[in-house]
Amino acid sequence: MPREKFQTLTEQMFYILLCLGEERCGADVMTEASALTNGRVAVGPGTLYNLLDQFLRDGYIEETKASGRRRSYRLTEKGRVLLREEYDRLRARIGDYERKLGKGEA
Amino acid sequence: MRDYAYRMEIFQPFEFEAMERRLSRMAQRGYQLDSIGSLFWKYRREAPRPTAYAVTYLPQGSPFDPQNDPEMEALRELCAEAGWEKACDWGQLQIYRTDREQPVPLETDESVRLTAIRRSMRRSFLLPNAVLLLLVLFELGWLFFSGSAEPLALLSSAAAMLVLALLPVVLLLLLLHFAVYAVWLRRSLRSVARGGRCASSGFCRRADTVFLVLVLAAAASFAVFSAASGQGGSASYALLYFLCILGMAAALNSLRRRLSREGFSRGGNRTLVIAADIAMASALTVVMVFASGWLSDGPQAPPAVDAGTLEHAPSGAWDVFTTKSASPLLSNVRVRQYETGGDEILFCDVYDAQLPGLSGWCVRQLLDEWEEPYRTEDAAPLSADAAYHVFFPTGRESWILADGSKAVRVTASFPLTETDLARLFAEAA
Repeated sequence: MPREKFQTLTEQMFYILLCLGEERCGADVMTEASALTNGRVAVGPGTLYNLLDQFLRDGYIEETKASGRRRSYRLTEKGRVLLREEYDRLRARIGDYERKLGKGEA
Repeated sequence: MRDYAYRMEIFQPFEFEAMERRLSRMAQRGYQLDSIGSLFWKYRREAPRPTAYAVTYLPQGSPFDPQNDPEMEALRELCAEAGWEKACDWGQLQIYRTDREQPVPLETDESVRLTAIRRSMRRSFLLPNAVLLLLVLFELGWLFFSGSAEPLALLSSAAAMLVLALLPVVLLLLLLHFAVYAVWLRRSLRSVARGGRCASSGFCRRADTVFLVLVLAAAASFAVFSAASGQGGSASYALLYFLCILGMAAALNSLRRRLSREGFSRGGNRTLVIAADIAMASALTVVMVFASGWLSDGPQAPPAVDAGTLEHAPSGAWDVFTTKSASPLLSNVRVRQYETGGDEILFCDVYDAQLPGLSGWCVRQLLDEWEEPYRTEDAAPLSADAAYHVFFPTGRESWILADGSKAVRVTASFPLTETDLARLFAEAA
């Protein structure tokens, strides 16, 4: 079944929102996501463009400035709540894992 | 060596993988995509190299958008940062390329890609194909309605037969497109929900190629048959019409791109292109009306039997009008003779059947057109297998004479003798 829109976040969505905790332009988000994850997560420009568009339309981010073709964005309060919910969900999963298998168990 | 090459590429918008593979293969052969026209894709000749092509979607985009559209530019900027150069766009499809060895893919989240494709498909695929489907259904309904009203006219027209043969194929093709997209969407939704990629499809490309070959073969058969059956004028008319439509499509596409380059707004571009379309269609209608005269099938041949030579007909001058139509199943020659300056007439319709049993079917259709009661006559003296006769209240009489291969209807305003009828039937062609 298709994923309900933003009910849970994909890795790409999560890192884009995380990077926009501070005001950043799209190109910086790509660099920052890669740096933050030591290159494990790469955000493609097509994916980034479409997600920025969707986040913007749904009010999770806001455009802060546009100089030429370069636009900058920042997380809104609604976006912070969404990111926090995802964080809590991930924490809950980690907690469940640790309770069941213990810390550091594979 | 020429700098550019043109190829007819047939893709449905959701077949992005097939498109990417094709473009990358062309690059390896030394052809880089330059632009996409209404019929052909234009490739620029360059040194062969392993360029990677990738397709992304701008769901809110339109072919009428200005080239410096801020949304398109924002995407271009992001892609440039990741090392991708824009090759061209095709509606909502944005085609990029890179020569980097291991580039960051344009799309790194399949659920986002799927959402973008679905949004794009609603506007660029589902809506236009649904409109086309309705048009084809309307045209088919109209053809069946007119065919049931005048079946002989339908069966003896190569153009009508061509349309009748092609329309169901177009209908099937459209339904196939919808079905393939539905299957692709279902497979993609399942795959993406399990963390996989969007499904791969190149089926429509293959089906559309087969359809194109069928259409070209049918059109070539129509042209050859028309020329062979003495209807070269009809074939030339159809060819001229087809070329004008192609020219119109190319001119409108060129206008749209030029307006786009010059920065016209989406609404302005669309309005101007629609206005140009209407103007060109009106001009085409006028041209084709004149062309039907220029491309008529040559001077009219004298009738096989001159009305003036019949026993009870006035022996003066007669005006003759002949029309011919033919399909591979049935040919029809209609000769109308009018006494010059008088009231007498002689009409002769000859149906030449190319299939066994078709002559009998023609006779039944012709008999159905008579509303008055008719008599079955002795056909032997007329050298025919069947003969039917009717008198009309207007004083005219009509005969239908038939054998295994032809049916002839003769209508006259003067009495026809046995000898007249035998001549008319024997010399009818």
